[in-house]
Amino acid sequence: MRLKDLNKLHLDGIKEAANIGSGHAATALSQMMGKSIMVSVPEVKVLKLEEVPYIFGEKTPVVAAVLTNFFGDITGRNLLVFPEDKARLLVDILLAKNPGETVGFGEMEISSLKEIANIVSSSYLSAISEFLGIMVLPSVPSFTLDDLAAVLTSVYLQFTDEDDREYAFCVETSFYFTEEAVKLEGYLLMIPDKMGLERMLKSLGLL
Amino acid sequence: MKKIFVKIGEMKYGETPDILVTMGLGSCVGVAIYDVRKKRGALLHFLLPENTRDDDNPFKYGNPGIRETLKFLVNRGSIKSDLEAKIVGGSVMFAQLLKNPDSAIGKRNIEIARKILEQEGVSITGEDVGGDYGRSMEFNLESGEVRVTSYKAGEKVI
Repeated sequence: MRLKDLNKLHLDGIKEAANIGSGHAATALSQMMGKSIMVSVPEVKVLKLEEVPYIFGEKTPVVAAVLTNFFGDITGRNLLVFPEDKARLLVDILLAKNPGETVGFGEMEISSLKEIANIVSSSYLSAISEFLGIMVLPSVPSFTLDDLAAVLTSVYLQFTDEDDREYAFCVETSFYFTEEAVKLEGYLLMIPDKMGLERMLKSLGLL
Repeated sequence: MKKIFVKIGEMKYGETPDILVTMGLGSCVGVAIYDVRKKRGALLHFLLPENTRDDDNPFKYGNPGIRETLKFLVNRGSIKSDLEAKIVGGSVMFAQLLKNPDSAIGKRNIEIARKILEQEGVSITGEDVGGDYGRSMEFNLESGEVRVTSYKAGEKVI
């Protein structure tokens, strides 16, 4: 299977699985934060490797990003991304501070964002596992605060299969907290390896 | 003076007083080639060390991207011994999740850039490489200086 040969049926199947995953992830995050959350319909993207820096658009701001590998019946990674200013607001909520109180990212701030990623990734993956009848487990999360383009290209180039680097695949979900004065949004990318993607499609009866 | 933006997997040419700019170098490497006599040059932003699959865009790869960049300048009348190189980028992010951080793409990209430039007899007069953070670069074709900026490590000129 080649990424560019994926058809609409394949993409819709993955989208359905992702939808279940992101729904559970949003519920878990909402409970953890005590805030209501709106989650988008997942978008399945197949793009040329050169387009990877612009997955979210032409602008590549500084973002707080947490990467989690997953393994088991499927392998791949989840990347949780918050614009830098939104990440600080999120930490304010999580650590029960006043809005604007968090200025930088020390150990405490980083570990709370990793905790969020952990909850989001685990619930996303466990819902997908259940839906597809497979086993998937997340690794420990890894944090960085950097230019979005550098983060995205590094994620793709460092981890994806050497022989499949013409096209990039991801499932993007965005979400936001509905009650905040400032729109507080985040993005989740699920990036299965090619083998992982094939396994998902097989479980869906599409391959 | 005009700013010329070089995207990922691209090579672009500029002359005094242009500034060649590339942003968001993570594990990718930017190679600035400067013709010290003619005060012009080219900037390459490559993603991977080697073109192993007959990809038709050479500039995605250190090899042959760097050789093609040198060839391009020589075809435009540059003399190879007038050319100097500066390399930037090649970081390793999320190293704790890599199975083998010692052979991370960033490191291999730096190695291939050094190797090809040495083979081609072009000396490296400046480097800002490695680490775990992203960088952007502005290559001034009047001075040959490269200004490297990063969110984590601030600014420096090489």
